[in-house]
Amino acid sequence: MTTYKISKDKMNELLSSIKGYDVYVPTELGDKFQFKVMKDAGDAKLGYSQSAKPPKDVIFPQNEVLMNYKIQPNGFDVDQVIDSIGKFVIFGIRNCDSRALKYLDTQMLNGKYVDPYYAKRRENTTVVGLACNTPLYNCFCKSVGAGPHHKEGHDVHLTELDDGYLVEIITDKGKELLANSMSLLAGSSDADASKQAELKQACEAKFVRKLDIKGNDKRMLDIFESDYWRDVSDGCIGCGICTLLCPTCFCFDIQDIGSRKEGQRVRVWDSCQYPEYTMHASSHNPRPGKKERQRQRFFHKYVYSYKNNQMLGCVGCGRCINQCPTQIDIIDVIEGVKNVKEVDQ
Amino acid sequence: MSNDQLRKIASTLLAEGKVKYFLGNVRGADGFSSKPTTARTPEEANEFVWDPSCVNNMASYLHEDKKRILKRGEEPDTRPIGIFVKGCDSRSVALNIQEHIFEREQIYIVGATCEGVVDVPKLKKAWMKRGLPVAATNTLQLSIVGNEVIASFDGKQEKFAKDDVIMQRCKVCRYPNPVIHDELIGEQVEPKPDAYPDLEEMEAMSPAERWAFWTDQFSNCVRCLACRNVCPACYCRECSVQRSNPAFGPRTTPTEKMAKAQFSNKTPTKEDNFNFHMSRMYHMTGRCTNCGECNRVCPVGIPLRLLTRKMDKDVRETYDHESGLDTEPKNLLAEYRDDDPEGGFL
Repeated sequence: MTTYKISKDKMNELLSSIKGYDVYVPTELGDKFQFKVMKDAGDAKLGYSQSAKPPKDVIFPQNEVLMNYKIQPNGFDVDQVIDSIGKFVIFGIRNCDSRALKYLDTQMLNGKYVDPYYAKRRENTTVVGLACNTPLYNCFCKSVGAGPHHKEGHDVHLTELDDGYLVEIITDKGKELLANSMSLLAGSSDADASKQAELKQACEAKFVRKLDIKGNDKRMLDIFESDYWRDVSDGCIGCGICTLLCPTCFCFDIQDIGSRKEGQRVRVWDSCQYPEYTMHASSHNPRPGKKERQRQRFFHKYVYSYKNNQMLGCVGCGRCINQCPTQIDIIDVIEGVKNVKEVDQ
Repeated sequence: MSNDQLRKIASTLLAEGKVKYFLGNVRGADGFSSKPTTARTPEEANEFVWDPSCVNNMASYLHEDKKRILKRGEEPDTRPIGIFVKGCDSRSVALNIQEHIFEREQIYIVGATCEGVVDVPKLKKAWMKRGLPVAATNTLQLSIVGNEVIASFDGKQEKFAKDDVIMQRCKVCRYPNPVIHDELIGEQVEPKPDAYPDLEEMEAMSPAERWAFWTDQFSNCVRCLACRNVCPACYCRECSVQRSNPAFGPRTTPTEKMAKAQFSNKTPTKEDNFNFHMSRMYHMTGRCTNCGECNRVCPVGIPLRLLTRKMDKDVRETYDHESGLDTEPKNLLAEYRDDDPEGGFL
C-alpha cells in the first residue's frame, strides 16, 4: 500500500483524468444525494453525508436487462447483454456501503451458483472509498462490524483532511485506475497520518446511537411467535423503502417486457415487504400481514445471515431509519428483544 | 395539556370497550418524531402524544381492517375503530365514508384542531446545528405559540421560527379544524387564505419545460410504492401496478394475458415510472384530500404535492368540487348537478 496526498483543488482534475470507466460520483438530488455517472467533474459532491439510494445499484442495478430476444421466421435471436458490460468506478463510497458489497458477494458469488451478471459487474468495478468524518444521527456502523474509517473492500481509500485528501492505493485495480493521474499526487507526511488517526478517533466519538448485538440472534429465535413483532410493526404501511434503500438487500424478480415476437428479459429489485412476494400460486400467503413481513426483515438481517455467512445482513447505515415514513427503528427493535418477557413454548 | 386530553379520551374508550382499538401516535425512538401505533389496551393509549410532531395521517391505517383475513372460526369484531385525526386527516376519513368504504358509525373520530406540524428532518437539522444535547430529547415536548415552535426539555426552552421548521403543506392549509369528529380537542384555528402560491413556479413553465421537469423527477423514482401505501384514498385490495406477473410462456393464452393487463410494468424505467405516477394521479382526481403524505414519504424527494395541489385547484375551478368535506356521498365523476359550472365542456 502506498500513500499519497492530493490538494482539494486538484480533485476535479483527478476525476476528469479517469478514462475508460463510467465514474459514479455522489451528486446532489434536492437536499439529498445520489450516485450518478459523472458528466462533469464539478458535479461530484465529495463532502456529501450519505446517498439516498445506496451505490449497490452500480453492481446490481434496479433495472437490469438480462437479454434481448427476437423471434425470426427460422429460429430466434438472443442478444446476451452480458458481453457489453463496461467498466465502472464507484468514487467516494462510504464504508457502510462498501461493506454491503462484501455482503452481497457472499450471496451472489459464493456457493453452488454464481450470478454471472453480478460477477461480471463486480469484477469490472473499482471501489474508491471515502472515510466518513461526520456520522449522521442514526448511523451505527461501528456497532455492526463496519466503521467510518475502515478500508476493507476498497481499492483506493480517500481521507478528507483540512488541506487535501489522503490517497491510499490498496490494490492493483486501484493502481490501474490512477495510473494516468500519478502526476497529480504528491507524497504524504507523517503529520498527515497522525491527522488521519485523529480524525478517525474524533469521528468514532461522535456516534450517538449504539446497538449491542451480543446474544440477540438466539433471543430473537426464542420469541419468534411473540406479539412483540406485531407491536413493532404496527405503524408499517408496507412500502418497500426499508428494503429497496437497504445496501444489503438483494431480492429480485424476473420480468418479461415486450410482446411474444420481441422483447427483453429484465431483472428488477423486489421486496419482502410486498404481499405478492410470498404469494403462492394457490393464493395462500405464508406471510399474510405486516407483522410477518417486518419480522422476516429483522430475522434475515440479524439471525439468518449471521447463521449462514457469519456476517450480519445489516451494515448500520441507518437508511431504513432515516427514510421510514413511520419511524420504525431497527436499533430500537433489536435492542427491544431483550425486554420481551414471554418466550415461545 | 392536549396530550392528557387525548390519553384520557382514548383510554376511557378502550377501558369501556367502545372501540376495538385506537389509532394514534406515540413518541418515536429518536425523541423527536412521533410514531403511528395501534393501542389495544388503556395502558397503551396512555402513551399517546398529540403535539406538532404528529405528521402521520392515521386514516390510511383504517384500510387494514378491511384487508385482514379472519382466522377460521373467528367472529368479526363489529365495534368501531377509534382514530385520532387532525384537520387534514379528518377529510381523508370523510372521503372513506363518502365512498362507502366505511359507514360513519364504524369509526369513532377524535379530532384535534391543528396549528401545523413540524418537518421533523428539518427540525432535527436545526437542532444539531445549534449543538443542542441529543440525550435530552427523551423528554422533548413541542408546541406552537404564535410564530414560534417551542421545544421544551429538562426545564429548558428552545425556540425556532415557525416558518423554518414547519411542513410546507401547513403553510397553505385551509382545513386546520376537523370537518367531522365525535370529540374535539383544542380551540378553533384560523384557516390560511385560499391561494396557491406554491404552484406559481410550475404553472409558469411551458408544456415542454413541464414535461422535462417531470420526466427528470420521475427518473429518480425507486418504485417503493410508499406514496401509494401511505395514501388514505388508495384502498384497492389488489393494485393494478403491482400484480404478480410471471413470464409469458408458450401456453399463455390471450385471455390470461388480458387478465394480467397492467398500467405499468414493474421495471422502474423512466416511462414506467411516468405511467405509474400518472395513473395514480388520474385515480386521485376529485378524490385526493391533499393531506400531503405522498410528498412527505418519498425517499428521493419527488414533489408529488405539486401534482395533487394542481389537481385540487383545477377541480375546484372547473367543477366547484372538493372531496372529503362531509360524509354525504359525493363523487366528482359520478354526480350530476344542475349548477355545475360546466367549465369542463369543450
